[in-house]
Order: sequence, then C-alpha cells, then structure tokens
Amino acid sequence: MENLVMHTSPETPYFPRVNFNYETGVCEIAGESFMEETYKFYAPLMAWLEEYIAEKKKVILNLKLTYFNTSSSRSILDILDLLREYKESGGEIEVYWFYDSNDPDMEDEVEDFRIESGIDIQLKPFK
Amino acid sequence: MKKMARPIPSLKKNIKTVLSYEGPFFIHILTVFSKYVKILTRDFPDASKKIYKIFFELSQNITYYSAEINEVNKDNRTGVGMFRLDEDNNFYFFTTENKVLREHGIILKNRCEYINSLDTKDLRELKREQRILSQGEKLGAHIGLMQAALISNYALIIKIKKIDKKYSMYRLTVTLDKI
Repeated sequence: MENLVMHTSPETPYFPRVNFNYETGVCEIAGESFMEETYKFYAPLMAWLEEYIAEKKKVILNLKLTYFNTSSSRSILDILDLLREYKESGGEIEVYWFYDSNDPDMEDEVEDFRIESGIDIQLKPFK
Repeated sequence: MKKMARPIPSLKKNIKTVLSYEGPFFIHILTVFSKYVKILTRDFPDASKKIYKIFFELSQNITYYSAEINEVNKDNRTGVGMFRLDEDNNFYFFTTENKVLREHGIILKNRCEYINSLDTKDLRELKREQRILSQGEKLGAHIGLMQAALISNYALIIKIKKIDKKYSMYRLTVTLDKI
C-alpha cells in the first residue's frame, strides 16, 4: 500500500491536509474541512483505512481540525465508526483530537463524537 | 407560540452592519468573505470563532438549498441569497436570507421553533441522534440549524415572507454575545 497524502493550499483552504502513513499507521487529518461534496473528499480516506485495517495493523488517528462544517462531521463520524468496528473485531486503535484550548465549542464537539462513536477520543490542546 | 427554552436578547437601537453580500454563494466567494469575518470581529476572539462557524454553516445552507440558482455551466451551479453581519454594543447578529419553496418555508419555521423549545442538553442529544441517523454521503448531516443554535445559545429568529404562490423568502438570524 502507498501512503495517502493530500495537500491543502491557499486557493482551496476548505480541504484539510491528509497524511496516512502505511509504515507507522499514523493517520493525520489537519486544518479546516468545509468543502462541497464532502463525501467525494472523504471516500478515498475511508477506502485507504478499510484496506489498511484488513492487514490487522494498528491505527493511530490524529485529528487536528480547527474547523469543520456539519457535512464533514458526518464523514468524520463514519471514520470513527469504522475504527470502532475494527477495535471490536480485535484491532488496535488510538484516536487523538488536537484542539485550540481557546475554542469554546470544540470540547463539546469531541464529547459528542465520543458518545456517538463509542470510541475513547483523547483530547490534546495544541495551544 | 411554542415554549422557548432559548432566550431572545433585547435589541438595542445602535445596530450597524459590519459586512454584507447578496449574490451566488460559490465556495470561493464564501472563502474570501470568511477572511473578512475573522478580521472584522477580531476584537472579540471567542465570538469571532463562533461567527466563523455560523457563517459557513448558514451560508452553505444557501449554497445547497436556495430555490434560486446561479448556473454558470453544468459543473458550476450554486444557490443565491444574502448574508449580513450586524452588531450593537453587546451582540453580533448574523442573518441569511434566500428564496425557498413555500412548503419548505413552513418546514423550516417549524424546525426552528422546535429547536428553540429545547434547552442545550436536549438540543445536543437531538443533534447526536440526527447525525447518527442521517444518511451521510450525498445528503450531509442535516444538523446545521441545531449547530447554529448550540453555538449561539440564543433563540434562532426566523421570518418567512410569501413571495408568490410557489415561493417564500426565508430569513434566519443568529445572535451571539460579544463577550
């Protein structure tokens, strides 16, 4: 498998940076996510993860999103649901959410994801 | 009128418009305006972060759901509407307005009234339930109005005005504390 790498740019700030590393299992999504046709952007991320976990390797998901719209939140939940199912079938996962401690709403957002996905998401402030 | 669990702030008279736009809501246009939203609200950092989120949530509702469409070609079509950011001494008010089918206006009004009847705890639970139930993929999460209300902590203010037999004008205002 190849790594999955997607860059963002000033012209397309609505796409987050993506770096899924096959060797280490560290999968990072960072920046902002408010693109149109959200499902088109996140489909290859889901496909990569499905292929990766078929090899029974550990996944470390680092989410560093400073803003995401509600469409993106649905796709993020899909990723978390996939990882939960993997964990329930014996796979090893760690999920971290890096957030701006000055953002008044992000802790509630992550708590909602914890409840909806059933995954222990660890909050880590990056400011 | 249904019970309101979310307060409506008392409005003062010295309201001024900070930023406004009327036209097609292409994502590139919204991206440019979002930078101005950040700059113009930077004196109140917490409110600025909240307005940024609400700006995209409500504006993208126009992009996807406005009954008035701007079509450049088959690959470039988007909803048309208006947004306006106003302020007084204590609050920011973010308003969007767009054309909707009359029956959709009624649904939106009822949805807003229901959201306004819920306290924060119940509204968060509803949002979680709705997100899990949403089909995702091409249909999004359908929780934008709930998210706006949660960020705001005030009642959503909605006005529906009939245009003709088929359409209404739908206006939504979200209120935010500056501090």
